[in-house]
Amino acid sequence: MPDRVGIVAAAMTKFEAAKPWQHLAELVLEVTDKVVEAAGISLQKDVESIVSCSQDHWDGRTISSMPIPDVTCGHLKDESKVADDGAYAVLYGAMHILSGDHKLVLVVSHCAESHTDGTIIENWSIDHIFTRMLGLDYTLAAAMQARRYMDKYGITPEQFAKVVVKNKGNAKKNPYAQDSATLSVIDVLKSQMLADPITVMDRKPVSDGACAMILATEEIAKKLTDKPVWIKGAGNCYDPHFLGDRELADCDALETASKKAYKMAGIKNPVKEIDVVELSEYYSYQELLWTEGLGLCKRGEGGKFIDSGKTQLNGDIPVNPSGGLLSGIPITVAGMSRVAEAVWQLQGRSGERQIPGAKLAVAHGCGGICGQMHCVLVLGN
Amino acid sequence: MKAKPQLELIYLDMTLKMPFKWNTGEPLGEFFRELKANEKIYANQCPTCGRNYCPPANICTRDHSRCNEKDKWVAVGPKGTLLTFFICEQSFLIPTTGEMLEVPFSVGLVMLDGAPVVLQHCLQETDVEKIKPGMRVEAVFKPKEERKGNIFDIIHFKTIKE
Repeated sequence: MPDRVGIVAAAMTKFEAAKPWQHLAELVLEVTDKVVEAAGISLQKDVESIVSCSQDHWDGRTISSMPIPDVTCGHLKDESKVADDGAYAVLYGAMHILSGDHKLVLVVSHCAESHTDGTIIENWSIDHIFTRMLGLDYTLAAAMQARRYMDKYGITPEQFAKVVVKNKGNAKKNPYAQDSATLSVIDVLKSQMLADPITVMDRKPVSDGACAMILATEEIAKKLTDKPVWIKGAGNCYDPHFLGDRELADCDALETASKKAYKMAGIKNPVKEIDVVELSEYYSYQELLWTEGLGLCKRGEGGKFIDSGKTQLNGDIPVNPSGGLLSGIPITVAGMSRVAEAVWQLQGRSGERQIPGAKLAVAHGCGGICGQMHCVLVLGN
Repeated sequence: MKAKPQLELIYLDMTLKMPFKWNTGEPLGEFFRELKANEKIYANQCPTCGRNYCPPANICTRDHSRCNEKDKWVAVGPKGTLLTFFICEQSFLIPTTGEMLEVPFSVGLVMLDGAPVVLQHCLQETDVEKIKPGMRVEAVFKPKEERKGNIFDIIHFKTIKE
């Protein structure tokens, strides 16, 4: 049984507010062809298993993975789907390899948020008998979480806005990013209010796109590339769905997931050892909260942490040099694109957003209302 | 659990509505443009293994060969041969309109003339005694001004005698 899983190559589409010329399956086709070329393999002969991530409600069809074998040469092969976040598809693909069943796995995620109304889907994800009728969507729930975070720890909207300024600024160096801008904290604070304290700029924009990667056993990964990226640690954890059953100002699930991942990877002091972090901030305040959950700073110190400048592109521990989700990444693709960005950082392929000498990276995916579930992957070369 | 007739049984009734505007994409979009503008049904073929696709595919599902060059598409039909069919006798809610379906209605797999491809569509005939596999059928198109670039630009396949 293999004991290491290598990521050979990663690929993404450019992310855009809409891609009207592409069918959903064509998003998958585009990244599949790109990643197969980057890995230098044959889709037909070498790929043994396909793990995808998409969601039935977003695609508007039950079993949203149905068209995927057609465009990934998947007929008569192993095919499975994860329906939450793409980081989980990477984890599941790694399990396929660790099980010894498969030597080379294609993982792919897609979503076209422009095809429908995300507010309805978010509302449908909420308990259907009781809470749904109250009209919650993720943004309204996020406003509640952000407010609780502010009240408990004295974090401010200005500190949230700093995340937007940093990430939209970083996105200018990322050719795959949809939204980039040179902004000031005032610009963010003055933008349209959605649900106090969350403005339109504090929320990730609607986006279409896809991401893919090739996972392989250690032996094959070493043959295929001189820059394999190893999955050194993984952890995932769920919080309760009902918001009243959690302390919204803390993220117990992420703390648990990251501790598991760090233990597996042998990390004792995350902020000193980790070179770069790509995390899933659907809303600006979440980047602060997730840096706490990832153990990069103490509970309640996410605000001070952004103030310190350490998470800037040239800081001690850059967070989201890609621009993060605020630069425009669709749901489901979100976590996988974090992994892909981390892979490129470790392979030295990140162009202008490259963190020099990055050797250890953390990629984070999350899903559900107010970050109900979290998946943390530690990657190294 | 045993029924509790002394208690009022509480349900929650709700109808879920979801708007969608799906992209049709490259070959499927062109297939519908041709259907709408020219009453043409197109198919294409994998240059490697020869498998045929209707509507045309970007790539062969079996060997991943590109097969989307428009100049290699072939017009098929509008006549064809019925392979198999069903007749629906029980009405159900049509999710796209919210109305009950008129029954009986029938759908068949039609092997179109011109290439070994199958198109799935409604049959005009709904009498089980009058539908036989192997019988000849022909696509009936809507008038041009009513066509929208979807599969119902073809109303149905009618039975023909040759």
